[in-house]
Amino acid sequence: MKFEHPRIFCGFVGISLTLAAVLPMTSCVHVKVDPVRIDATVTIRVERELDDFFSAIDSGSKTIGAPTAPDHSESKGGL
Amino acid sequence: MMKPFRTFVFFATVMAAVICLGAAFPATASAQGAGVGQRMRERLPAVDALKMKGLIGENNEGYLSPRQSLSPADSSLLASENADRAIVYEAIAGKTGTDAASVGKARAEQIASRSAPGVWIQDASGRWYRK
Repeated sequence: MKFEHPRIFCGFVGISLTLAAVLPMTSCVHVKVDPVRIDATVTIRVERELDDFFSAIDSGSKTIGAPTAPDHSESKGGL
Repeated sequence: MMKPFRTFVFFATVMAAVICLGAAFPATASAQGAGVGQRMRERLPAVDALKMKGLIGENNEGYLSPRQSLSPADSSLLASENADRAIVYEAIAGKTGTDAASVGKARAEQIASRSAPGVWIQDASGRWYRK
């Protein structure tokens, strides 16, 4: 089997240039995002991360109960 | 003739190194987080006891605060717990693109809603009350 290395290289460069030209265009399609929605998404992610970390710890606590929302059962107290 | 291929190999090696580093950093953070979680679990009975005695409470920033004067050992325990909470909040802030103070406040709200009766809680306005 014979490889034509310059062709591979040229193909790679061609794909890279095409992606470099196309990706910025796709990233500019959606330019306006509602900040309230971002805040809500971040809040939900933070609460999920907190539950992921603390649910295993809180389950052994006598002063803090388990979350009432659907829990994330993979929690092991690690980040 | 070989030069383009060498360039390609070099580029591929750099990309592989970047991918490997990207995989290694979360693993390091995870190991650190597991250590914090273990310490918090070991500390939990003592922290619970102080909370049930009313000597410490949960403030509105996600940390423990003294409600009465504490012994040096209890003060040290509280400081250690708060230091580990700060590590967790910082790590979660990094993962979620927010800041540690916001994460702490979110945790304070969780604690306030889930705490057992008798535990000192500080509400958002700064007022302390016993649940």
